[in-house]
Amino acid sequence: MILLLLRVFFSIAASTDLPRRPLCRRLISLLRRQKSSCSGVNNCIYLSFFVSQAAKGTYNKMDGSDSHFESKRIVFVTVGTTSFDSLVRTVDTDQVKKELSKKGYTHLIIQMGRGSYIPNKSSGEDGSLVVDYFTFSSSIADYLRSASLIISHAGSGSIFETLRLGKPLIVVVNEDLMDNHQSELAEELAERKHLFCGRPQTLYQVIEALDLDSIVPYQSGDASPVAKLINRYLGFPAD
Amino acid sequence: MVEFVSIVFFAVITATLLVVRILYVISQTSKPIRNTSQRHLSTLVVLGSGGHTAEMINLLSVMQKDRFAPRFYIAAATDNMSLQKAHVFEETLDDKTSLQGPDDTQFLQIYRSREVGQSYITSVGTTLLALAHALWLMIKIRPQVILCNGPGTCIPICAIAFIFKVLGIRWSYIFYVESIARVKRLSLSGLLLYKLRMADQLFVQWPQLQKQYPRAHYVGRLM
Repeated sequence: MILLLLRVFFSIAASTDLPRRPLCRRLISLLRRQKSSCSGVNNCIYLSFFVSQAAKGTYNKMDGSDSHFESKRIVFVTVGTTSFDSLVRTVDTDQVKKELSKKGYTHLIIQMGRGSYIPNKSSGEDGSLVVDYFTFSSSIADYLRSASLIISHAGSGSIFETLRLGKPLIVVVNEDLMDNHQSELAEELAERKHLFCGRPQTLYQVIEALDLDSIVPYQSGDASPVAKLINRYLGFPAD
Repeated sequence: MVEFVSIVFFAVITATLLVVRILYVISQTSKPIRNTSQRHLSTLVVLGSGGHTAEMINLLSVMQKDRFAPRFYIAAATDNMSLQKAHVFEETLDDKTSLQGPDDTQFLQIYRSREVGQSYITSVGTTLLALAHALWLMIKIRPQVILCNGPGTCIPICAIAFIFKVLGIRWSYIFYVESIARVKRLSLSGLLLYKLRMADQLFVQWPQLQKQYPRAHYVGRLM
């Protein structure tokens, strides 16, 4: 009976907004204490279920743009100044869109650059992804900031701009490029777990296996060692 | 007969002198200066596209603006963004250090020897044109320091700088920072400057690259 009441309370707490948050948190701590002292195995399972649910609810609320309960979770696809039709075509497939929906993403915005493939727009009435596209924009940074996931070509500009913002990033290597050195950087950074790396044909698998908790935050580099060496080389006094 | 011998003799002498001078220049390249009497050195910055320019701006932002002045920025004529970024960078400097150093920063465009996708036959002509343009710009600027980090446009400029050294027109120091995008192999520009020993110092941003090219310096990541 008590458990049933608690369950009702939590469903209310999780769905309503900020004012209830402190109460909700107090209850979590209370429950945690109870959990540690409770004896029945069944009770324990129930309680842990509640704790995890409630914790998820408050966590997501604290973290504004990424809210579980908020309607918008944007995936931003960028190809930079190049054309990368095979990527645009891939993200436009039902397979990839379905995987993105499954992961809880609601919007798909595609920056298609000089490409000639035009993706299908969708306003998402039937519960599918909302899809929109544009060719170029001077405010790519704003799109990156508003996105919850970024799928990018392997250009170092886009990669580091995204990493600096601390956003989850999937880099898709363009295999059509002649001198394909771009994959080097993406693969190295993927090995260091700063981002995920794939090819157009494996993109849906990368999304399927997406584990945002495995990402290691990227520490920005520092140019001063180079400047110091150049200064020393040219015989300028060290400061 | 005597005339022929004297011509050959003269040619041999000139060739020997030239070889000696080239060897001297190569041996002097990559030797650091102990103490400079110069207060500032004119600096040529070769900008590439996108990521290259971002890296270069990162480097410039930590360098002493009064020592590396006046500054000349060069970018490919088809690349509008890079010079624009350099403009923005210089403007932010003007606010902070308007009183320091000679301030006649210039922004220049250079013809590219080959556009992406251009055919090889027509690129012979455009390469010659690009070389001539680079020579003209280098005669005008005669920089003491050249900073570059990857774009192909830096090769004709560095080659001309080398010729200037051999002919004694201007001694310049070439610093090449390999792009962060190069993890396993040097770019063609980097490889040429490394093998021909044209760059005074060559920096790489990944340790595994330094192992392959021991004369390069590993300096960590710029981005």
